[in-house]
Amino acid sequence: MKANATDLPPPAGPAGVAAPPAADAVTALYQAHALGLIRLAVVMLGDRAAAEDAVQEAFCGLYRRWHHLSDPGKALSYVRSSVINSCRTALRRRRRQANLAGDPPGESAEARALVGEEHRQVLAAIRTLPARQREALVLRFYLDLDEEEIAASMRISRGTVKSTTSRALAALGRILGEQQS
Amino acid sequence: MNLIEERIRAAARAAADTVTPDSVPPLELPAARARRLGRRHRNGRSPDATWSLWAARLAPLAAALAVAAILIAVVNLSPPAYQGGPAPVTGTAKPDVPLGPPVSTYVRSGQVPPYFVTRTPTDAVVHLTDGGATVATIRPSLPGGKVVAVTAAGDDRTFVLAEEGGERKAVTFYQFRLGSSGRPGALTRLPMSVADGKSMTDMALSPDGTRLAIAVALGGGLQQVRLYSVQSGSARIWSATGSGTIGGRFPARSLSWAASQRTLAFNWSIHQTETVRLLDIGNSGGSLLAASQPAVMLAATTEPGRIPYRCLDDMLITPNGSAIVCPGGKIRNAGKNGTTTYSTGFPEFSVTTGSLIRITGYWPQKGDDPYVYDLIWSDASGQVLIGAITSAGRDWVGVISGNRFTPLSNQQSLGAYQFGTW
Repeated sequence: MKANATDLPPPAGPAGVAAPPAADAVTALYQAHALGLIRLAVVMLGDRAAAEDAVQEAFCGLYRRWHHLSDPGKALSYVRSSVINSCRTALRRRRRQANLAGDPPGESAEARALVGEEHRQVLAAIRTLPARQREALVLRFYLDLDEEEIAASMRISRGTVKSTTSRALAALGRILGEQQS
Repeated sequence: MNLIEERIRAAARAAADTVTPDSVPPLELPAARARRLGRRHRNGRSPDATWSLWAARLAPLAAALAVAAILIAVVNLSPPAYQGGPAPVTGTAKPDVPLGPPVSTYVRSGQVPPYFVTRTPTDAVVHLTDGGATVATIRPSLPGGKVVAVTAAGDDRTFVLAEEGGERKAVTFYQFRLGSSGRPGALTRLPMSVADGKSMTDMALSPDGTRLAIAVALGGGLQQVRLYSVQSGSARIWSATGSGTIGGRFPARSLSWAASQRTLAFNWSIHQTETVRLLDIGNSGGSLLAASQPAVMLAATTEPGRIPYRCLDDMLITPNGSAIVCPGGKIRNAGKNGTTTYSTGFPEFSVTTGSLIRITGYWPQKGDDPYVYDLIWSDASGQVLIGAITSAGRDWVGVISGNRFTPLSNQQSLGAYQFGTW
């Protein structure tokens, strides 16, 4: 997992500040968190290639903006938000394409082969929820983020995190209940 | 397996595990990514040469844009804007609920305490309830220490703060009392500690300030309520093991004292059902579940029809010990065309029958607005509350009386009120 750090000269740092090259910093962050973020995107999208794409785009965005980052400690939160946004866009695009083709939006064949029926049913139900509900559930129950971290990642208030999570659980309960009955 | 949260976790883990650590591709920085995705120039020029050509043509425009860029560059980069749903953090200057009298009315009449204590990432800070002005700042005693929780006694003047610090992130406790001007007296270190901050899920000071109840979640499914004497540090411990937890899915007020100090209410979450249990603290400790009785069911995800109101994780027992109040919501009407309308509020349930007594702050919802999500404080009658709601695109902390809400602050950010303890 070694990035090609010589692709671009690192963007110039702020005057008078000896910042580490952006490529090094972003590469280090990628090496530490790419696995977790790709997994997050796979949970959201059910498609490995699309998930990798979402994560790569997020890190490219971080690289381009690295020297505008006021607090490098928040880089993970930034890139996580980017991945969530990319997943949302990908799902929206996929739904549009599926509507045009007349097919239901679905997961990749690889995902279908690797994930058991019970889990696929739950994941499919999660992916039918509105974007905000789906993301709140995944951030809470997959990443185990607390409400402040979820609020920061989704750029919503703590109250909205709580209300959204509560609504999402109730909706998911209804969907899965209906499927079982 | 029939529990929704466990099903979500298991399904997400199964999907995530399809990505193995050795299959993560290398990072592609922008130029390499653009090359691989085929964004090559068809005329055979190198990207650099093409850029030079366009740069010469666009030089005047670039000069103008540079000025704008300099102006924009002084703004710090914030995380990417959320793209889904309504814009959440921009809002109006008032919530979309019936408004009550000014905060000063409640403070002057003694219906709500004049001061509250909040925590920042590093300190505890005393503020005026009316207007939020800072009265005093209390700094942790340890270098790098931080205040992780604050709890108040029934007199609204005696507080205990929990400080996490040191190499092992142990939690130590300090008591202080606010004088008539709101300024804190000396900090008294209490003779107890918790091994690490993550294991402590809540704490509640007894109404007379002599005992401190702490909820602790240890490894292996061990849950404890520890009751310490503030004076001596001696403890009685009630424990439970298994899949149940004290508190719900988010950190919340899961311990609450009745004024009699014979009963400690705690929120017990197991198998998607959250129930307030009443712990009789007259015994010497032992089994948490054997020493407590279920009183009120707050939420049941798998059987939403079993309860009249679905509550979030926070709860308080009214000082007279007769009822549990929580922030919640209910379905008002499930239409046949798929439209569902909801209401939200602070329902109060009898601890003897579990039935709904009344709802304070009962508001129909339009979409998700308003939505009550936090219960922070209750007066002795349980009818004047301090709680948090989401409305008009933002969060508000305010006083609730009847169906009226008085925001404590009209500022865009909750600021000090976000983690206030009264």
